[in-house]
Amino acid sequence: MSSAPLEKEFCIQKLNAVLALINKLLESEFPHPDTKAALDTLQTVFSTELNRLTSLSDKLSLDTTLGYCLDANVRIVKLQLFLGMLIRSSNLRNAFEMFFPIKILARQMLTPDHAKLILSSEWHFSPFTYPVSPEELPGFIFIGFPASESQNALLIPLAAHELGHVIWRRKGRGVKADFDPAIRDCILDLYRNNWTRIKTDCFDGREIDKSKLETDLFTIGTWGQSATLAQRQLEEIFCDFIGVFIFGPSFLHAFRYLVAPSLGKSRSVKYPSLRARAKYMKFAAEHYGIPTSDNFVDGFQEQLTRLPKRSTAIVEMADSATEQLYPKLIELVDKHHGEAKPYTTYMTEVKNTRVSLENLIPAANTDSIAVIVNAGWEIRLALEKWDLSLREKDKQKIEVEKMRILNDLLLKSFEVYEFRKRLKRHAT
Amino acid sequence: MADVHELALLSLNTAQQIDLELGGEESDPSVLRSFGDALSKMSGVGLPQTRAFLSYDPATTEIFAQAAGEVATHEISDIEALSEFMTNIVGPLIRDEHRLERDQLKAVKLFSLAFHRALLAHQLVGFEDDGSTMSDEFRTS
Repeated sequence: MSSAPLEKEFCIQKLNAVLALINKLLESEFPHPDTKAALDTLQTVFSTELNRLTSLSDKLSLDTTLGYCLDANVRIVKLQLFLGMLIRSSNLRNAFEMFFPIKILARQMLTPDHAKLILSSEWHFSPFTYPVSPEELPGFIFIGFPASESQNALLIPLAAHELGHVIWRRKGRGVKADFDPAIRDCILDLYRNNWTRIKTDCFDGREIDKSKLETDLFTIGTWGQSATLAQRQLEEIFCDFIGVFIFGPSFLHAFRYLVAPSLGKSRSVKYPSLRARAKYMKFAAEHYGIPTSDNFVDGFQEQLTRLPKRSTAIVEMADSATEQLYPKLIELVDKHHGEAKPYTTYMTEVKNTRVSLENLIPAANTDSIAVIVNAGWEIRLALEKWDLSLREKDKQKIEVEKMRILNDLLLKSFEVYEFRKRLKRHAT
Repeated sequence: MADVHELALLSLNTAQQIDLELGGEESDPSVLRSFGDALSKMSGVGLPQTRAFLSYDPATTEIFAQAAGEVATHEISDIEALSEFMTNIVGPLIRDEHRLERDQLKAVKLFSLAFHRALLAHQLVGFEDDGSTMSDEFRTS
């Protein structure tokens, strides 16, 4: 047994620093109560951690005390990311008009308990931030748009992808728990059917009996990596399918706008290749009877990842499992979309809404955010045909001005949507 | 998998109770029982009609293998050896009216701390590989 080590003293100091930061943040003003609720929760989490550490008996062994210090460090490391998002969620850079429609969508897809929303702007150019909400913040959904695009109303469909992650991973009723056994079985079949190659590429010629595939820890470690990658890839496709299901063509346009042809990095093996992903989205769109452009898939080009032989085999097995299993995700979307209605329910309203927006009147007669944003995309994709009789003669400047006006109209339409929803709620 | 941090905390509390017990202080045996139950539920070890670790998520097996590999005195290369090792840890914890010997307590404590580290490392991987960074060990360029 030992007296308290310096590490414990340092961890207590670090926890106090985090708590001081949270207290400072809590003095700020927040546009939505969810951010404050998250900070309150984190304050409790870190206070509990601090109390735990300060009340530890000095009679504990050094390794046990260091275990508690590690625990505190991990909480700080993990939750610091989310503190950053909470700070940025209150920045005026965000389009606060987008908050309510996304929150409504979250309530429709999940239970109200699961629908506390943090919407922020981020300093990396990726629409896909923090798919994993920490267990310390149950029910909170973190969505971040790239800072330069955080005012872009046409990107609201991408929020559905993020909500898809919550559906996939939610405890008890999540898609992951349902689907993981199928992924595991598929990967095992692929390893058995490609055993000669696997032995050479993955096991360095080591003699391993095929019958020990599920019991030898080294082989489990190998196919386990393929299974994990396939799980991640299929999760991404599921989230894309949710986006297509709810937002129809506007999801495809938003994804293409933000990502195509690629963002320059080589492919992450935790995602399907961009072209494969586009192919899967097109498949879902066709399944739902949503029109897509013929060249949608061709717009994506990505640097392939160069890998050592063993990793190549592991990734190829994951890719093959994904290719085999992705059609089954349609059934899972049908089963898990909650109260959110498919885009096709409202498809016929888009034309009228587009006409309204073209006449500079915010949409006021629809119950669907998907209708508003699809009408917006129709105008955006035929911008030159939108006659606004502007005095400006420079074609470039006219386009910029039209897009600004379109964005303002969409944001205003979101406000009208919010107003209508709130009125309806109070009327019942 | 159960809440990772909850389980991680239970591992630490187990080590804490064992320290107290070994130091002749008052300890809470229910913590050890809870830890045994949680391990049993997570791995299948000690459950009736279950072949431990088979049909489980390979990532779960990996966490157990990592923790067991760190503290076992012999090589653990397959599920059978891992199950045997885990039975030796879990068995005494979930047996009714059983008081653990000092050696058993020391073994459980070593495992609980290794298990805590393995769980947290696994959890952080889940956060680091979010879509924003797209970082992964496979990317080469």
